[in-house]
Amino acid sequence: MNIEEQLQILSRQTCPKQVDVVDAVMAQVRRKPYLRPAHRTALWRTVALTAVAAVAAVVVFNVASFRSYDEEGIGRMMAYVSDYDYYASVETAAVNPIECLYDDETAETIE
Amino acid sequence: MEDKEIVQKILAGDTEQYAEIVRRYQQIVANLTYKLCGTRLETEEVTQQVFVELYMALPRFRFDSKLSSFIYRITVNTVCKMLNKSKRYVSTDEYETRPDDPSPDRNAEQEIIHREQLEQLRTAIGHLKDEQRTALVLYTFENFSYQQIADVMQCTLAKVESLIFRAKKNLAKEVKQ
Repeated sequence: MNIEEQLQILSRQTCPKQVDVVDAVMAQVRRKPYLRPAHRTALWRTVALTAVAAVAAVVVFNVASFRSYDEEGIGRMMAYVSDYDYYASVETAAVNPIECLYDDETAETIE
Repeated sequence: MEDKEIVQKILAGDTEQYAEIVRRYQQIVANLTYKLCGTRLETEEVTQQVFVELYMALPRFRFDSKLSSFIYRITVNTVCKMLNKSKRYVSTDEYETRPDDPSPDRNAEQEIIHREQLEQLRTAIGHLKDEQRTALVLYTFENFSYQQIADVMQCTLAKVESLIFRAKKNLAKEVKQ
Protein backbone atom coordinates (compact mmCIF):
# COMPACT_ATOMS: atom_id res chain seq x y z
CA MET A 1 0.00 0.00 0.00
CA ASN A 2 1.46 3.35 -0.95
CA ILE A 3 1.60 6.52 1.16
CA GLU A 4 -1.40 8.15 -0.47
CA GLU A 5 -3.65 5.17 0.27
CA GLN A 6 -2.42 5.06 3.86
CA LEU A 7 -3.10 8.79 4.24
CA GLN A 8 -6.64 8.30 2.96
CA ILE A 9 -7.24 5.57 5.52
CA LEU A 10 -5.79 7.71 8.30
CA SER A 11 -7.99 10.60 7.20
CA ARG A 12 -11.10 8.42 7.38
CA GLN A 13 -10.11 7.05 10.77
CA THR A 14 -9.31 10.32 12.53
CA CYS A 15 -12.25 11.28 14.71
CA PRO A 16 -13.41 14.86 14.81
CA LYS A 17 -12.76 16.71 18.02
CA GLN A 18 -15.90 18.06 19.71
CA VAL A 19 -15.47 21.44 21.39
CA ASP A 20 -17.63 24.22 22.78
CA VAL A 21 -15.61 27.39 23.20
CA VAL A 22 -18.39 29.96 22.66
CA ASP A 23 -18.62 31.11 26.30
CA ALA A 24 -14.85 31.17 26.82
CA VAL A 25 -14.27 33.16 23.63
CA MET A 26 -17.07 35.62 24.31
CA ALA A 27 -15.73 36.22 27.83
CA GLN A 28 -12.33 37.16 26.34
CA VAL A 29 -13.87 39.22 23.55
CA ARG A 30 -15.94 41.26 26.01
CA ARG A 31 -12.79 41.98 28.03
CA LYS A 32 -10.83 43.38 25.10
CA PRO A 33 -12.97 45.16 22.56
CA TYR A 34 -10.87 46.17 19.59
CA LEU A 35 -10.62 49.64 18.12
CA ARG A 36 -13.39 49.71 15.52
CA PRO A 37 -12.73 51.25 12.10
CA ALA A 38 -14.78 54.37 12.86
CA HIS A 39 -12.81 54.97 16.07
CA ARG A 40 -9.55 54.27 14.30
CA THR A 41 -10.34 56.81 11.57
CA ALA A 42 -11.24 59.40 14.20
CA LEU A 43 -8.00 58.71 16.05
CA TRP A 44 -5.89 59.08 12.91
CA ARG A 45 -7.73 62.27 11.99
CA THR A 46 -6.98 63.73 15.44
CA VAL A 47 -3.31 62.74 15.22
CA ALA A 48 -2.99 64.24 11.71
CA LEU A 49 -4.72 67.49 12.68
CA THR A 50 -2.58 67.85 15.80
CA ALA A 51 0.59 67.33 13.76
CA VAL A 52 -0.49 69.88 11.13
CA ALA A 53 -1.45 72.40 13.82
CA ALA A 54 1.91 71.93 15.58
CA VAL A 55 3.88 72.44 12.34
CA ALA A 56 1.78 75.51 11.48
CA ALA A 57 2.35 76.99 14.96
CA VAL A 58 6.12 76.52 14.67
CA VAL A 59 6.18 78.14 11.21
CA VAL A 60 4.07 81.12 12.33
CA PHE A 61 6.19 81.61 15.44
CA ASN A 62 9.43 81.51 13.45
CA VAL A 63 8.18 83.93 10.80
CA ALA A 64 6.91 86.32 13.46
CA SER A 65 10.17 86.26 15.43
CA PHE A 66 12.20 86.70 12.26
CA ARG A 67 10.14 89.74 11.30
CA SER A 68 10.45 91.42 14.70
CA TYR A 69 14.14 90.59 14.83
CA ASP A 70 14.55 91.97 11.35
CA GLU A 71 12.84 95.26 12.15
CA GLU A 72 14.60 95.77 15.48
CA GLY A 73 17.91 94.52 14.20
CA ILE A 74 18.03 96.77 11.16
CA GLY A 75 17.10 99.80 13.31
CA ARG A 76 19.80 98.97 15.84
CA MET A 77 22.38 98.44 13.14
CA MET A 78 21.57 101.74 11.43
CA ALA A 79 21.93 103.61 14.74
CA TYR A 80 25.23 101.88 15.45
CA VAL A 81 26.60 102.68 11.98
CA SER A 82 25.63 106.36 12.22
CA ASP A 83 27.14 106.64 15.76
CA TYR A 84 30.31 105.01 14.58
CA ASP A 85 30.61 107.40 11.65
CA TYR A 86 30.08 110.36 13.96
CA TYR A 87 32.71 109.37 16.55
CA ALA A 88 35.15 108.28 13.89
CA SER A 89 34.95 111.65 12.19
CA VAL A 90 35.39 113.53 15.51
CA GLU A 91 38.39 111.45 16.54
CA THR A 92 40.06 111.74 13.15
CA ALA A 93 39.73 115.47 13.13
CA ALA A 94 40.77 116.25 16.74
CA VAL A 95 43.35 113.73 17.74
CA ASN A 96 46.63 112.72 16.27
CA PRO A 97 46.68 108.94 16.66
CA ILE A 98 50.36 108.97 17.68
CA GLU A 99 49.61 111.24 20.64
CA CYS A 100 47.16 108.75 21.86
CA LEU A 101 49.82 106.15 22.58
CA TYR A 102 50.68 106.14 26.28
CA ASP A 103 53.35 104.34 28.23
CA ASP A 104 51.40 102.39 30.84
CA GLU A 105 54.17 102.60 33.48
CA THR A 106 55.01 106.30 33.24
CA ALA A 107 51.63 107.42 31.99
CA GLU A 108 53.39 109.65 29.54
CA THR A 109 52.61 110.09 25.93
CA ILE A 110 54.99 108.30 23.66
CA GLU A 111 56.21 110.61 20.98
CA MET B 1 -28.26 35.48 8.47
CA GLU B 2 -25.18 35.33 6.22
CA ASP B 3 -21.63 35.59 7.52
CA LYS B 4 -21.16 38.94 5.81
CA GLU B 5 -24.15 40.49 7.57
CA ILE B 6 -22.99 39.19 10.94
CA VAL B 7 -19.48 40.55 10.42
CA GLN B 8 -20.88 43.94 9.44
CA LYS B 9 -22.98 44.03 12.61
CA ILE B 10 -19.96 43.12 14.74
CA LEU B 11 -17.90 45.84 13.10
CA ALA B 12 -20.71 48.30 13.74
CA GLY B 13 -20.43 47.54 17.45
CA ASP B 14 -22.78 44.60 18.09
CA THR B 15 -20.10 42.43 19.71
CA GLU B 16 -22.56 39.79 20.91
CA GLN B 17 -23.11 38.67 17.30
CA TYR B 18 -19.62 37.21 17.39
CA ALA B 19 -20.98 34.25 19.38
CA GLU B 20 -22.81 33.14 16.21
CA ILE B 21 -19.57 33.14 14.21
CA VAL B 22 -17.87 31.08 16.93
CA ARG B 23 -20.82 28.67 17.01
CA ARG B 24 -20.71 28.20 13.23
CA TYR B 25 -16.98 27.66 12.84
CA GLN B 26 -15.73 26.23 16.13
CA GLN B 27 -15.93 22.61 14.95
CA ILE B 28 -14.10 23.33 11.70
CA VAL B 29 -11.36 25.23 13.54
CA ALA B 30 -11.09 22.60 16.27
CA ASN B 31 -10.75 19.76 13.76
CA LEU B 32 -8.05 21.51 11.78
CA THR B 33 -6.23 22.57 14.95
CA TYR B 34 -6.42 19.03 16.26
CA LYS B 35 -4.94 17.61 13.07
CA LEU B 36 -2.21 20.23 12.97
CA CYS B 37 -1.08 20.09 16.58
CA GLY B 38 -2.14 16.55 17.41
CA THR B 39 -3.11 16.89 21.05
CA ARG B 40 -6.64 17.03 22.35
CA LEU B 41 -5.59 19.07 25.38
CA GLU B 42 -4.14 21.93 23.34
CA THR B 43 -6.88 21.86 20.72
CA GLU B 44 -9.45 23.61 22.90
CA GLU B 45 -6.96 26.22 24.08
CA VAL B 46 -5.70 26.93 20.55
CA THR B 47 -9.26 27.04 19.17
CA GLN B 48 -10.11 29.75 21.69
CA GLN B 49 -6.95 31.62 20.74
CA VAL B 50 -7.87 31.38 17.04
CA PHE B 51 -11.26 32.99 17.69
CA VAL B 52 -9.75 35.77 19.77
CA GLU B 53 -7.23 36.45 16.98
CA LEU B 54 -10.05 36.33 14.42
CA TYR B 55 -12.02 38.88 16.39
CA MET B 56 -9.05 41.23 16.47
CA ALA B 57 -8.46 40.67 12.74
CA LEU B 58 -12.08 41.18 11.62
CA PRO B 59 -11.56 44.86 10.66
CA ARG B 60 -8.97 43.60 8.13
CA PHE B 61 -11.48 41.23 6.49
CA ARG B 62 -12.23 42.63 3.04
CA PHE B 63 -15.31 40.53 2.08
CA ASP B 64 -13.67 39.65 -1.27
CA SER B 65 -13.09 36.07 -0.11
CA LYS B 66 -15.10 33.68 2.03
CA LEU B 67 -15.00 34.13 5.78
CA SER B 68 -14.13 30.43 6.05
CA SER B 69 -10.90 30.99 4.03
CA PHE B 70 -9.99 33.87 6.33
CA ILE B 71 -10.66 31.67 9.37
CA TYR B 72 -8.53 28.84 7.94
CA ARG B 73 -5.68 31.29 7.37
CA ILE B 74 -5.84 32.57 10.93
CA THR B 75 -6.05 29.01 12.26
CA VAL B 76 -2.95 27.93 10.33
CA ASN B 77 -1.02 31.04 11.41
CA THR B 78 -2.03 30.68 15.06
CA VAL B 79 -1.10 26.99 15.19
CA CYS B 80 2.27 27.62 13.48
CA LYS B 81 2.98 30.50 15.86
CA MET B 82 2.12 28.31 18.82
CA LEU B 83 4.30 25.44 17.57
CA ASN B 84 7.23 27.77 16.88
CA LYS B 85 6.89 29.24 20.35
CA SER B 86 6.91 25.88 22.08
CA LYS B 87 9.49 24.51 19.58
CA ARG B 88 8.19 21.00 19.85
CA TYR B 89 7.40 18.12 17.57
CA VAL B 90 3.78 17.47 16.87
CA SER B 91 2.68 14.20 18.30
CA THR B 92 -0.02 12.77 16.10
CA ASP B 93 0.13 9.59 18.21
CA GLU B 94 -2.68 11.20 20.15
CA TYR B 95 -4.99 11.23 17.14
CA GLU B 96 -8.13 9.57 18.32
CA THR B 97 -9.02 7.09 15.64
CA ARG B 98 -11.90 4.82 14.97
CA PRO B 99 -10.83 1.36 13.84
CA ASP B 100 -10.77 0.79 10.13
CA ASP B 101 -13.08 -1.97 8.94
CA PRO B 102 -10.99 -5.10 8.62
CA SER B 103 -10.47 -5.88 4.99
CA PRO B 104 -11.68 -9.32 3.88
CA ASP B 105 -8.54 -9.49 1.71
CA ARG B 106 -6.22 -9.32 4.73
CA ASN B 107 -5.53 -12.11 7.16
CA ALA B 108 -4.81 -11.47 10.87
CA GLU B 109 -1.08 -11.03 10.33
CA GLN B 110 -1.57 -8.60 7.47
CA GLU B 111 -4.07 -6.71 9.59
CA ILE B 112 -1.47 -6.20 12.34
CA ILE B 113 1.11 -5.02 9.79
CA HIS B 114 -1.47 -2.66 8.32
CA ARG B 115 -2.15 -1.09 11.74
CA GLU B 116 1.54 -0.78 12.48
CA GLN B 117 2.04 1.02 9.18
CA LEU B 118 -0.65 3.52 10.08
CA GLU B 119 0.93 4.10 13.49
CA GLN B 120 4.27 4.76 11.79
CA LEU B 121 2.59 7.13 9.38
CA ARG B 122 1.01 9.10 12.22
CA THR B 123 4.38 9.49 13.92
CA ALA B 124 6.00 10.48 10.62
CA ILE B 125 3.38 13.21 10.03
CA GLY B 126 4.31 14.64 13.41
CA HIS B 127 7.95 14.82 12.37
CA LEU B 128 7.29 16.84 9.19
CA LYS B 129 8.20 20.51 9.01
CA ASP B 130 5.30 22.80 9.95
CA GLU B 131 4.73 24.05 6.39
CA GLN B 132 4.82 20.57 4.88
CA ARG B 133 2.47 19.16 7.52
CA THR B 134 0.04 22.07 7.12
CA ALA B 135 -0.13 21.64 3.34
CA LEU B 136 -0.48 17.88 3.64
CA VAL B 137 -3.21 18.05 6.31
CA LEU B 138 -5.20 20.59 4.31
CA TYR B 139 -4.85 18.49 1.14
CA THR B 140 -5.40 15.02 2.54
CA PHE B 141 -7.58 15.50 5.61
CA GLU B 142 -9.55 18.60 4.63
CA ASN B 143 -9.73 17.84 0.87
CA PHE B 144 -8.58 21.34 -0.09
CA SER B 145 -7.52 22.06 -3.67
CA TYR B 146 -3.98 23.34 -4.31
CA GLN B 147 -5.42 26.79 -5.01
CA GLN B 148 -7.31 26.85 -1.69
CA ILE B 149 -4.16 25.77 0.16
CA ALA B 150 -2.19 28.52 -1.59
CA ASP B 151 -4.81 31.06 -0.47
CA VAL B 152 -4.77 29.84 3.12
CA MET B 153 -0.98 29.60 3.37
CA GLN B 154 -0.49 32.78 1.31
CA CYS B 155 2.03 31.25 -1.04
CA THR B 156 2.24 30.27 -4.70
CA LEU B 157 0.66 27.23 -6.27
CA ALA B 158 4.11 25.91 -7.16
CA LYS B 159 5.18 26.10 -3.54
CA VAL B 160 2.10 24.15 -2.43
CA GLU B 161 2.85 21.44 -4.99
CA SER B 162 6.42 21.30 -3.82
CA LEU B 163 5.45 21.17 -0.12
CA ILE B 164 3.02 18.30 -0.65
CA PHE B 165 5.46 16.42 -2.86
CA ARG B 166 8.25 16.76 -0.31
CA ALA B 167 5.91 15.88 2.56
CA LYS B 168 4.90 12.62 0.87
CA LYS B 169 8.51 11.85 -0.01
CA ASN B 170 9.62 12.40 3.60
CA LEU B 171 6.74 10.29 4.90
CA ALA B 172 7.62 7.46 2.55
CA LYS B 173 11.26 7.66 3.63
CA GLU B 174 10.43 7.63 7.33
CA VAL B 175 7.85 4.88 7.09
CA LYS B 176 10.30 2.63 5.18
CA GLN B 177 13.00 2.98 7.87
